Amino acid sequence: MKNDRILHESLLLQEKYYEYTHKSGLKVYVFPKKMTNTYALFATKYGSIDNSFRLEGDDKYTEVPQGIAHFLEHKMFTAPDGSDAFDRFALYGADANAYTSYDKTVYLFSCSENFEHCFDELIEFVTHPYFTRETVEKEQGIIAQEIRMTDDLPSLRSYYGMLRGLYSVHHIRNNICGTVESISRITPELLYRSNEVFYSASNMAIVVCGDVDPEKIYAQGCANIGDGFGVCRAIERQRPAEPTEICSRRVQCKMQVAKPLFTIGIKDNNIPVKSADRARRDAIMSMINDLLFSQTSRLYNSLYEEGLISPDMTSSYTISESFAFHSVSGESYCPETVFDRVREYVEDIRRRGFEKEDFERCRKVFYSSFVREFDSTDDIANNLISFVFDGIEMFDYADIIASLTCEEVTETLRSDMKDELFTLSVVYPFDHKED
Amino acid sequence: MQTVNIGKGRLLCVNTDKFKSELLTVTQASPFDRRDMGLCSLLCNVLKRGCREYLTTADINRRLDDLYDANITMGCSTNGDSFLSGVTVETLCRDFIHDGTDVLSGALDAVARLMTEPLVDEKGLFRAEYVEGEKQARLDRVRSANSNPKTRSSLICQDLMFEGERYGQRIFYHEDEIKNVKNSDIADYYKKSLSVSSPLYIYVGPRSQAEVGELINEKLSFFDGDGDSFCDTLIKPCCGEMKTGFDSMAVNQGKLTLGLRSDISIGNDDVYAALVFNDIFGGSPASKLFRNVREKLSLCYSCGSSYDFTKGVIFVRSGIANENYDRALNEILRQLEDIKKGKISEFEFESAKKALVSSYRQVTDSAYATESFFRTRILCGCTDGIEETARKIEQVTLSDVVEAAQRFGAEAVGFVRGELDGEEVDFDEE
Repeated sequence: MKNDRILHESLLLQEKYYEYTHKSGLKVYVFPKKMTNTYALFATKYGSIDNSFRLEGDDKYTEVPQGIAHFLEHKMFTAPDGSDAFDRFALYGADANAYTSYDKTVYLFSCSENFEHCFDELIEFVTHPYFTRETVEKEQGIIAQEIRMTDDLPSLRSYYGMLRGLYSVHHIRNNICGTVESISRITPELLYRSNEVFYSASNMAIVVCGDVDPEKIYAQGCANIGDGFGVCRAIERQRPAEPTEICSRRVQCKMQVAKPLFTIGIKDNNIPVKSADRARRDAIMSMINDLLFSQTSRLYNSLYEEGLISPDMTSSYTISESFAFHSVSGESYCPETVFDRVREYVEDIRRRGFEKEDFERCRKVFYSSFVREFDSTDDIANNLISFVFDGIEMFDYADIIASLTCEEVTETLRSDMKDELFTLSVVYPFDHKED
Repeated sequence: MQTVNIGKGRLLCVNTDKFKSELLTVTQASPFDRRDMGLCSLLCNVLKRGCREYLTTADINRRLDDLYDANITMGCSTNGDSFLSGVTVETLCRDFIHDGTDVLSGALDAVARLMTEPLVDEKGLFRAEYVEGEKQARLDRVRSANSNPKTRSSLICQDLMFEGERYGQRIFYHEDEIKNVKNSDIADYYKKSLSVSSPLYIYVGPRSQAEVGELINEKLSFFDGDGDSFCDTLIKPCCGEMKTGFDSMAVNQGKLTLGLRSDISIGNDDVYAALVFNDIFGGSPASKLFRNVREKLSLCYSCGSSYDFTKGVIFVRSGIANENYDRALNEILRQLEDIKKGKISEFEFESAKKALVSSYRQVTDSAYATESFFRTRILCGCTDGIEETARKIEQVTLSDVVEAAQRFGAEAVGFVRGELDGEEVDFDEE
C-alpha cells in the first residue's frame, strides 16, 4: 500500500510518532509506546460552539440548538439494529467512551487485547450514524438528567458564570450539554445534517497510542474507512462578532454551598491567526498564569497566609482559534477582596516585571509537566489530537518553552492583561446577604 | 511481591523503565480511630506550612519547583478498618534532568526536613496561626461535604450501615470536635506519629533495590515504628434488613446511595467472583444497571456500583429526578435479584471478566496504580500479584458469580431529595 508517512521524533523525550494521510484526506497518527494498554481515538473538529455552519457553496447557514454536538456524541453509539457500540467493545474487554468539548468531539477506547477488533468497531460506529425520532426522544431524558447533574455542580456553575462575564455573544457562554429546552428542539434531521457536515474525512483524525505496529494500524484503518467516507467541501463556521470588552464585571448566583466559590476570568483578545503563533501565545500566557497564580506565587501565598482563600486555588489558561482567557478558581469568604487583591497584584507585576529567578523556576516546572504527559497512552493520544486540531507539532512545544525569555513574557503581561479585561464570578450560599 | 527488610520497615521495589517519573511512598498503618486520624490529617497540613529550613509554604513550593516540580503529598486515608498515614514523593527520572540534579534525593531531603524539623516553640507547640488556619480549613471541608448532595447521600447510607463499626466513621464530622482541638493535641500526636507502626516503603521506577534502600536509609530513617499495627477489618454477612434515610437540599437532582454488604473481602478466594458480580451489576457501561436503569428506562445519566473489597461492601450511586426514586430503587434491586437467580447472559458474564482482566493488566501502565495495587495487598496479607489476580478472575464460573451475589444484600439507602426539582439557577450580571 502506497502511503506518505511522516516521522515525528523527539530526542529529548525519546519518543516518536508517525503521521499518515488517507486518500480521503483523513489523518491517522500512530504513537508506538510500550504499554499494556492501547488507546485509540477518532475525533472530529466539532464542538459546542459550532452552532451555525454551512458547506462551501451553500447559500444559507444551518442554525442548530445549543448542545447538539454533545447530543450527537451520545447518539453515535446506537447502531441501525438497535445495538449499542458499548456492548461490542465490552465483548472484547475494551473500555469505550466519548467526550465533547467546546471545539471537538472525541470517541475513544482502551484495551489490553483484541485491539484489531476494537479498532474496526471504532471506525464502524463513528462513520455510520443512525437516528430515529424514538431514540432521540429517549436520549433527551438521559441528557436532561446530565444537565441537571451539571447544574448542581457549584464549581462548574462558577466557571460558566465567568465565561458569561467575559463573553457577550460567543457560544462559549453556553453549557456544552445545552439546556433542557434547547435539547428538546433536537431532531433526527438536525443530527444527520450536523453529522454530514462535521463527520467528514478532512475534519477528522485518528490517533492510536500503544504497543502497536504503525503500518498495520494504517492499513487496517484504510481498509475500514472506505471510499464512501469522503472528501467534503470546506466547512464555514459562523461566529457572532464578539466585542473586545468583557460582558460583565461581576456575575453571581446562589446555590447549595457552604462557602462562596469564585472564578476570576481575564479575557485575551490577541489570538494569533497562525497556529504556530498561537502555540507560542499559549506557552507565554500559560507561563504568565503560573507565575502569577500558582501555589509558588507571592499572591497565592499571601492570600493563603491571610486566610482569604482555601488551599486549593487553581488557575489555567485556555486558547483556541476563537477564544482565549485565563481563569483563577477557589473558595473564599471574601471573594470581592480576593478579586481586588488579584487585580492589584497583576498591576504591580505589570509595573515591576517578573523576576528572572522566578521565570527560570517556572520554566523547569513547565518542562517537567510536559515530559510527564508522555507517561500514559491516554494523555499522549488526547494531547496529540489537541495539537493536531490546533495545527501544531506536539514535540515543538518543548522547544517553545526553551526559547521563551523573561522579557518577552513580561512584555506580553504589560500589553495584554489590562484591568478592564477582568471579571469575577461568584457562587454564594443561599443565605448570603448583599453588603 | 517480594519485600525486603530495611531499617524497621519493609521495601517493595517495582523496577520499571516505562515511566518518565519515579514514585516512592511510605505508609504506616493503625487501627482506625476518629480522633487520631483527625489529628493526623491536621498535623500533615500544619507540617506542610513550614519548617526550620523552609519557613513558609512559598519557600517549600519554590524548593519543589526547583526540583523540576517534585510532588510531595503528606496525608492519611483508610483501608478497611485501618487508617494509613504516609508520604508520597513523585519526581522526574534522571534521564530527563540535564543539569545533574538528583531530584528524588532532593525531594526526600525536603520530606525529612518537613517532618523532623517543624516550626515549634520550646514547649513543642506549633505556630498558632498555622494550627488555627488548618482547623478553619478542616471546618470548611466538613461544611462543604455537608452541602454536597452526593456526599450527603453517601454519608446517610454509611451511617445507617456501619453504626458502631470503625469503617465508615468520619474524622471530625462535628464542628465542635475541630474547634476543640488544641495545639498541644497536635503536638502530642506528632511525638508518636513517626513510630505508630513499621513503615512500608514502595518504589516504582528505574532505580535498583539497593540504590533505593540506600536513599531510604540516608533520608527516611526517622520512620522508626516497630511492628505491624494494621488491624483486621470486621467482616460480617448482610443483616437482611434494609434501612432508609432521607434528607433534602436546594439542588436540582436527587442523589441516591444504596449500600450492600457481604462477608466476601480481600484474602477470601471468593473475592474474584464478587469482583465479577460487581462488574456485571454496575461496574461498567455494559452492566445491568447502566443498560437498564439508564439506557432502557432513561431514569438517570449515571448509575453504577463500586466494590470496596477491603470491607466486602458495594455502593450503588445514581442521580435521579425525585419522582423516579421508587422506580429507580426498585429497578436496581430487581437487577440484583436477577443476578442472584442466575439471570446473567453469556455476554454480561464474559464482558465483565474481560473488562476486569484488562483493567488489572493495565495496572502496570501507571506508577500510582501499581503502588496502590501492591500496597493494598501487602497490608491485607494477600499475596496474589497482578497476573495471578487476572488468572483467578478468568477462572471464575457463572455459578461462582451467582453464589457470590447471593451473599450480598441491601442494608441501607440514603436519598437526598432535590428541592429545586429542575429549576434553573439564574446568574445576576452587572
